[in-house]
Amino acid sequence: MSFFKRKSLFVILIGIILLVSLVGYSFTKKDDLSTAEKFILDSVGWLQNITFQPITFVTNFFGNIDDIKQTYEENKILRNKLVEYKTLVYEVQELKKENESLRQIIDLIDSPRDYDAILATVIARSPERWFEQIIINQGSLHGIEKNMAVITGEGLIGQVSSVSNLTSTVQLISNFDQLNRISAYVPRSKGDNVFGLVEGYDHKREMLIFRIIDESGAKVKEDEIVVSSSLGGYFPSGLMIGTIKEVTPDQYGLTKIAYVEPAANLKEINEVIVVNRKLDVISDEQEIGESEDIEEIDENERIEQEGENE
Amino acid sequence: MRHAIIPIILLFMLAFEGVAIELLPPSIKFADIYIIPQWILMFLILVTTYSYMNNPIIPIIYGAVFGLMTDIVYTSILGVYMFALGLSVYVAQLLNRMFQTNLIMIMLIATICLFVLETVLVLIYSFLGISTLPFGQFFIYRFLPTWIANLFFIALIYYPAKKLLAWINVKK
Repeated sequence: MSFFKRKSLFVILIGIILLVSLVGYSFTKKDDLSTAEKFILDSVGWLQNITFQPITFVTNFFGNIDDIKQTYEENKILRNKLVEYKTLVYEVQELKKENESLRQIIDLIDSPRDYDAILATVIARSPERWFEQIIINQGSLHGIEKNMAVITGEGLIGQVSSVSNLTSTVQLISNFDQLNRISAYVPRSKGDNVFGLVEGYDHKREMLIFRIIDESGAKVKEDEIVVSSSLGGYFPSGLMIGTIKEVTPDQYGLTKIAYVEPAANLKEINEVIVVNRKLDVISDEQEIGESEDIEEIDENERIEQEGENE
Repeated sequence: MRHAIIPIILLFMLAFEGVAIELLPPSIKFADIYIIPQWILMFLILVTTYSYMNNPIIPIIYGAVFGLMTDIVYTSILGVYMFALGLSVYVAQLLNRMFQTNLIMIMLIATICLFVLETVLVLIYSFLGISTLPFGQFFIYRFLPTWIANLFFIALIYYPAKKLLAWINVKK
């Protein structure tokens, strides 16, 4: 057993060198996954998918039995709601039609709010708790791309961090850092929306950190909602993020920070919706072109206004 | 050819670790304690004990390869599990030659190897700024629950795995 006496130290040293270089590699790479990584993710994801479906079927069955017990009470409440809902649906349809026709008049087809939804099921979660990642059973073959927003029915839960052919990995908002900030705003009915950035997650409070960058001095109050804005480049506008629970000045006293309680339940995630916004994702070159367009429009508007004034 | 079963089982272990964590009820999944399934290590300890007696480097290579796959699938940082798992399987090899092979001794080996694995992981992750757990808290909140869960697991798979590995060893 000469291996354990002479070579072992040598092998451990090589291991440390490999460790350092691989860690360095994974911190520096920004682009897509390599083919080998995709292959491994696909094969493991396939295994997880075929085992997860029957298991969830069984667990859902027992969950359903619990549900049946509460059905009668819920039914009563829901029937009342249904009446309100019918009128609401009619109203929404009318508004949608009106909105579309108005859009056609000004030649604007894709609004920043529009998106295509891709439904997906969560098949696994990272066993290492510090990496709050989930794996979903839809990949690039189903049209998922990196950086897309991921929501549940309640609100935003994360962002796609890597994609292989059959599965993709979603980084939850509770694991967001400075590198993946979300552009967001507090919507107001009068149009004085307060803009800011969701910068990270406070694990002690279990709330998101929302830095308000608006200089207009508009005050943000508790219980106001925060939604995503399309200005970040990847997300559509209007995805629910959460409600403000606390507003404090930041450590330098220059800007204000609001603590936002996520609207979605980050603990129990089963079905998710991957959001593919219809508006093109803005690359750097396009950004310049579009801002020129906007300037042109501004100029046209100004000329028109001047004409009216005269 | 029977040896090809070992990597297949390891692949299943790798896939099921994530599924098992997802299926835990949220009250356990998000409690203060950390339960991390280290099934690949548990199975590899049994492999080093009952198989590859005269070829001790092969389980270590399995450890490194499946550690790297864990890195790819579950964490975004490569190399950490690869090094930690390879090292702990090596420790298992060293301990194997000191102890007899029965369930109690295997549990003792599993305890030591798991401690090596978890300590290396926590050290590297805190060095990289991913974990902020002080060592005392690491021992209570992360190591103890993980240790109990994994000891339970190795006791569960001990007899089936022993039979399987004996069957693999019959004909090379």
